Amino acid sequence: MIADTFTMSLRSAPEHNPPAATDEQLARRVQCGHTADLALLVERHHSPLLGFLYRLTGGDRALAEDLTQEAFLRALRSIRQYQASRPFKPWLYAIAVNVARDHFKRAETRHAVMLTDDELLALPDPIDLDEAIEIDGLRLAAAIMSLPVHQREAILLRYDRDLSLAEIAAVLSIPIGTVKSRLSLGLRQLRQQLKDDAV
Amino acid sequence: MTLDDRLRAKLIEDTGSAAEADQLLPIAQQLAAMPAPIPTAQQTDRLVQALTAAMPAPSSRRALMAWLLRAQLRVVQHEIWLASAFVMTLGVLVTLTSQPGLSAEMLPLALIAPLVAALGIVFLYGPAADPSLEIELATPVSPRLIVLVRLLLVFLFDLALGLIGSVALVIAAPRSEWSLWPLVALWLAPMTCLAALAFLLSMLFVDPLIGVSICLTLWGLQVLRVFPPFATLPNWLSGDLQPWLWLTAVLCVGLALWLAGREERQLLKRI
Repeated sequence: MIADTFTMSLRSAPEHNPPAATDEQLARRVQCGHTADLALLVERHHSPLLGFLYRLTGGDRALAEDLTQEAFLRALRSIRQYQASRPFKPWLYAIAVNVARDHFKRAETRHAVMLTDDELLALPDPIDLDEAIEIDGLRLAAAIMSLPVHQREAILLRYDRDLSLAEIAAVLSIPIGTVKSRLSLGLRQLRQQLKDDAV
Repeated sequence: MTLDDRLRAKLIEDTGSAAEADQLLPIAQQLAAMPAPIPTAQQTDRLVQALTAAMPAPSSRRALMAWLLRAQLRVVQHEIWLASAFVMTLGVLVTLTSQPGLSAEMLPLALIAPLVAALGIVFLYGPAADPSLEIELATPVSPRLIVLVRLLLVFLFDLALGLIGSVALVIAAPRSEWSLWPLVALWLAPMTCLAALAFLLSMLFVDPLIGVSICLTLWGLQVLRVFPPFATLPNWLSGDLQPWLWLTAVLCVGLALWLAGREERQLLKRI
């Protein structure tokens, strides 16, 4: 079932040799209508973006797929507004974050969603994973979902997507100081949540 | 620098405290190691296809034209380029080996160039080259512009072939009776007129064979003029007829574009 469509990994996408053109150069060419460069951009960001949205939605794979496609579509529709002098990755993730926020608004699932035991059991089955890691993964997913969405976004962008503080500030349109405080508070809350779960 | 070192450095940067960073390191490690799905190559391909279909047209006029030309270059059947180049090369070779003193009206190049352009253009439109109605209507540019760009592509290609052929004849011919401009003027107006007529026919009839038949018949009559019973037919290659040929070409293209616009409006009404 899952193995048909996905392979699961402890890390997100496998590392590829860096292609010659930067994201910004590719985006500029997409603005001129080059479909081949669009394919390169998608190939480069599909897996990381899916992973980010998968974690942001608490491990809902189908939802993450839908949001990923929607994020790419929105990015493509707004490609004319993209300024090649600015980094592409924060621009793309800002769109993805907005797509996810729109979904949370629609689903009224924002802020402090605590997963019940049933919901935890309903989380997608990670395959080929050690049982202990699997349980840790589920606990962590639940703990992340218990965070307010603005902290969840900052933490995942920082520790999952490896964005710099400045890039996160650009994605979320907030000052760097606010990014730091969200990260610090979020991590503390996450630690406390996991400690409580363990007890 | 190991992953743990990087995570610790980030935590120190975020919290401003090494002690707190050490406390939070296990959480950061778990976050970095969280499992996540990896899309298969097929899933990425499907996404690329969906996005390509939704690709917006470029904003600037120049970029739009470049984008359209590239897109239409892919749509035009490859056989058209190959067949045009092959027949035109053949025309040049036959002209080079033709008997000296051949009248201008009987030059193989002048007889072949218009027909090559017309037959290439007749096959430009139709089910083999055009996408389905839904995709056509979803394109960000009008079908009228698309057909015009495609016409220009093939016509300019044939024009280039004709010019190269004429230059080759002037350079390589052992006789000095040919000069470049009279040679080009001989086939240019008939080629433009026959190509424009083929364009109009391709808009009027779905089956390209109808356009092929009409063009072949018209041009066949021109070739038959060497025989006495047909000598009274209008000579497409004569200088007197050239203004009329240009006028006919303009009218044909205008009518074909009007038809393309009308077809688009009717299709949109049906939806």
